[in-house]
Amino acid sequence: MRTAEGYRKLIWKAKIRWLIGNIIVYSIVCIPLVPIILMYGWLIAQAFSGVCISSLIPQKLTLDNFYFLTGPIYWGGTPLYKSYWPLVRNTLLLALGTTGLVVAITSLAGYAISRFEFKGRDPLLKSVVVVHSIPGVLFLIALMYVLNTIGLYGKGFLTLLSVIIIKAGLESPMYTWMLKGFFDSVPWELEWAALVDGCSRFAAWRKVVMPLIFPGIAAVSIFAFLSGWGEYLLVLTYITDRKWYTLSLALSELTYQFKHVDYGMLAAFSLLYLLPAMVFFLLTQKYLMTMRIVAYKG
Amino acid sequence: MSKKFSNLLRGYVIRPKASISISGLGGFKSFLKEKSRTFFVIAFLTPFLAALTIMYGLPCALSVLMSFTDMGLSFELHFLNPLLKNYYTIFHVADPRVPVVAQTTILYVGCTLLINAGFSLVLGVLTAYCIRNENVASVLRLLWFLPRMTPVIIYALLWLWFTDPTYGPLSIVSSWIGLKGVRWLLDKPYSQLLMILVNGYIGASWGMVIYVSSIKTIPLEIIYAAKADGATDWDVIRRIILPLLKWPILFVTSWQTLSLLGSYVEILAIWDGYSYTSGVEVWSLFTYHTAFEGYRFGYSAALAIIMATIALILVAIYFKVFGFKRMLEPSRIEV
Amino acid sequence: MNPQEKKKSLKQNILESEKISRREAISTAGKVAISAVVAGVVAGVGGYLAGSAAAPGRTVTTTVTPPAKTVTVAPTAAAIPIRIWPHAKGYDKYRLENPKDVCAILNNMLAAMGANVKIDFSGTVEEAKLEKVIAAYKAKELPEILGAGHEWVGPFAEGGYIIPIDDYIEKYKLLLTDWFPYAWAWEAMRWKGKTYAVLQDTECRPLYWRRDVLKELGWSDADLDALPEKIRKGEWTMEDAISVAKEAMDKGLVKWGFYHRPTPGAQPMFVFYVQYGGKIGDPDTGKLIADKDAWLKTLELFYKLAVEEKVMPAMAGTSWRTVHTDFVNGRVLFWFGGSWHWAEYQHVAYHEKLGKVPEEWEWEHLGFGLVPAPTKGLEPATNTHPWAFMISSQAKNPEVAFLVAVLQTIPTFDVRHCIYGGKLPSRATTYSHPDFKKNKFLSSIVYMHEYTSVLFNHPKMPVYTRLAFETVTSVEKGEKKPDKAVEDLMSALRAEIGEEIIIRE
Repeated sequence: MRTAEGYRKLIWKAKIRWLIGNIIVYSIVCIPLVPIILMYGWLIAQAFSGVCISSLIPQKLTLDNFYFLTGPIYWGGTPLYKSYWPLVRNTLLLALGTTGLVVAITSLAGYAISRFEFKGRDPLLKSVVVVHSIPGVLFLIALMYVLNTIGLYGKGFLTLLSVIIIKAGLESPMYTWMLKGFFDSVPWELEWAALVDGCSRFAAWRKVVMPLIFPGIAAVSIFAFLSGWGEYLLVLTYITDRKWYTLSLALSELTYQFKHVDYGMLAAFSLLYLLPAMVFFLLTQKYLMTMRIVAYKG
Repeated sequence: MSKKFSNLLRGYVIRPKASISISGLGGFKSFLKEKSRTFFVIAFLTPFLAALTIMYGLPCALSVLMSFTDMGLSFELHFLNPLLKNYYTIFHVADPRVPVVAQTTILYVGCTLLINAGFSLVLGVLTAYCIRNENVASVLRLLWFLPRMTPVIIYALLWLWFTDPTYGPLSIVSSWIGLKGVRWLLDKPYSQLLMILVNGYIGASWGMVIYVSSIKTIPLEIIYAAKADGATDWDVIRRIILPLLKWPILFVTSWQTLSLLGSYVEILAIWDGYSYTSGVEVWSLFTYHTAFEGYRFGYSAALAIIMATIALILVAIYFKVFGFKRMLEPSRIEV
Repeated sequence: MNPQEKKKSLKQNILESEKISRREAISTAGKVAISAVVAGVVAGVGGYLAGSAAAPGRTVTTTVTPPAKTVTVAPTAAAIPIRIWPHAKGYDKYRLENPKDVCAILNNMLAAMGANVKIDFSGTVEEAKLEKVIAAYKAKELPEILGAGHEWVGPFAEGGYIIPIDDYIEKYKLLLTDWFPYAWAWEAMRWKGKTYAVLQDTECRPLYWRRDVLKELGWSDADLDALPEKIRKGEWTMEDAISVAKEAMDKGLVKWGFYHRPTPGAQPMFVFYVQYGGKIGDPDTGKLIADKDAWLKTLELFYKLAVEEKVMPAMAGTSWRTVHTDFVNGRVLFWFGGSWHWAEYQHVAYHEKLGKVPEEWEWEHLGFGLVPAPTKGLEPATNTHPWAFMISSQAKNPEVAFLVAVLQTIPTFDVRHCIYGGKLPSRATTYSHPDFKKNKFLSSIVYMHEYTSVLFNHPKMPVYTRLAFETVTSVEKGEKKPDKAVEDLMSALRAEIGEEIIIRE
């Protein structure tokens, strides 16, 4: 039989345990974040500074570094780009195109691999991991050959399209594997019920299974979008028409050999480059968090 | 959707007619079904297979061919006299840099894997389960995702500022803890530690997202039930969450091993020009230098093929140890 | 549920399911149709592209000295396409404007002559990077004129992307009599004995110093003004510089005595190497050269600077931002910079108080001269990186392309580029152009061309530069002693460059 004092002590102990637990959790997650916060803090401070700063304190506070939003982008005294917005449009095109194509390819393939037993299933699954063991350096030269033979060099929008296809193709195996896992976690009975009632397989896939793996689709789309948004090497090699340049190319031109680097503008540019990726991440994170597998609730 | 479902389920129980009507037309329909099933499988798999062959198969075949040549700037395939000459050069250590590069790669992959697969697990569990406030958790996850979202050039610039010998916070902090005068970018083993950290920040977020999504699919009832039985948070993590994450852990570990073996861009961007003396020249970077600075495409193809082979061996080991067959079975989260 | 309702719900379910199945059937059919259409479009696009890759309307020229080939564009006038990738970004915009204006003048001349041919000029500000050149070459769309640093003459020639132009030089030699009078200018355009490019511009890499810091050490204005001449005569050497730097550091006036570039490059390693008598390449065999003795002395100099006298930190790893900020704000005494930095400090806000510094401030606070001789008895020197305009092997009309490349360097055009871009000219007559004489800075560094050297044109030159930089870094760090470092450098060179490098003792 415990006294009131004893209960109070118990509650205290529980509270302290809870507090210590929380402190441990938050420190493990937050302390390694300190360098990140410092670095990005510097980026923000430099974006609003009129001079080249080395500390976290902005000097000569100004909004001038964001001039590229409304006018041509200057490098070394002459305009390098007439306007900022076509760059954004092209990068968005690349990112969203990659995402759409990747989601289409991988959800189809992941479902097929997960649900069907067919002859090449084992090797196909294994191949997904096998192809990832090929280092990225290999692809640059070889793909140059392939693209040039098909004749997709220097064709403006078509070249951008082919870059999208290449990116989607290169990233599909990994996301297929990921989605296969998600498909696996959806019990077979649900589809079976739908199929028996006359749903075609396609409809079963589209209406029954796909909504249930939304977290997986969200995860895949985050990664695909980010990889498309930040793509640099492929765009550098293939896109020759300045009309179709993306933000990453513009960034590399602005830091060319570190001559005449406008650090303030560079910081502002990078901040705005990061922003859509962060927004996209936040939006899709919601899906990762709130979706529950409805069927389990009976 | 769920309402329709419950109706359908209920209908199924008391409605045998539907199933009879399907099998009514007998042989023809089942033949069609068989054909449509094959068609279905093929249709679903075609884009993926096309991607595999064109994007992966072709470059691989091409690179194997290239590794038998001494292809240089003219991009012509002149096959070498002993066909495997490039491989002899590598294995007979005729190139004194290869052993050093190999050592660095092993160190790099081994240590960064701890962060990418291990620490990301900690992060995933903590942000998905321990931190109850979803808004706080999503903000923290966003912060952890920042390195991955940043373009490499900017990321490199940020780290160059961070490790600046005069103004960088790292130098300031290291002088407080007695490491004054340490040149984080130049002196081994500090530069190697830095290399691991730089790539660790990028890799941790990937694993974290995978783990978080997997944890979110665990039905809450199980956790409630366990809690009702008096389990603490730590018990829940140890007994429920971790076992259910076995497959994601295997996946992340093996995938990150392969990714790390092939990653070099961040190191290239930060240690441009002095990567070898700083002890951060990994195999992929070495291949890149050979190809795009020395223009020995044949030799670099051989280097790349060797690394791909080693990666494949590692993959085979992983699967033997963790049981690949089990992974192919349908439902992974057995409830 | 009572039987009546059961039956009703049953019927409803069947109907519903049938509805679903019918709807789904239609939508499935629709989807199949859509995918068929998409597949058709993709196939069509692929077909079109495959077809256009083998388009018959394209004439491909790969011969060296062909007769003038014309491509019919308009029904009336024939057109000669001149496309160019000059790298005309930023302050180098005249690399694009000059050829453009030349073509306009040529077109006027052609029209006045009643000729039925026009020059069709199109150019972008792009540079001729290797990946782009390879991709364009494979697609048979390589532009006529490629602009890149001279070090690319070797790689591009080796890959067959550019053609030798010795015949044209002979044919038009009267246009080239006032060309740069220094041998290195033409050497930099050669590969294995053949000339492949036209010199477009040059610059040089002086040693900058802070006049204000030297004044605080007791130097007078007269001393400061006489310093460049003393360096030129070989009277003031690196040893003097080191002692001055040490004095300044001991007095706490500067943080460091010397800064050099934090990434691989030609200065100051190759400058010292050449001063110690090292040769970079052999024009006869076309191979690189590494003189072990000269490298040993160079590394010993770096060892002295960084480890013994401690007047210079290990530069690798310092960001460019720090380098420029420290020098502009007076925290470093000597800086192995480039002639373009003079203009850069006026355009980028490095100074903590003034931001972008005006030119008067620079004349007051900064001084410049050749890189002093390491010791008495050796020569001062500097390094130059000429820019080359190469004629590609897929040029439709190489001779016209050559003419355009040469004509855009005549003084009227040359001087525009030099003044705007802060570069030194490719023709000797440009020096005497009144506009050029008005630019005080450029006129005062022109003399440096007499003492300069260039890196050798060889595809493996970047590897050589990087290895040299790495070795210098390891010596600066104190990790290796010069004799061990030079051994490692030789073995690394042997391993990575193989037989393309001659290693001499």
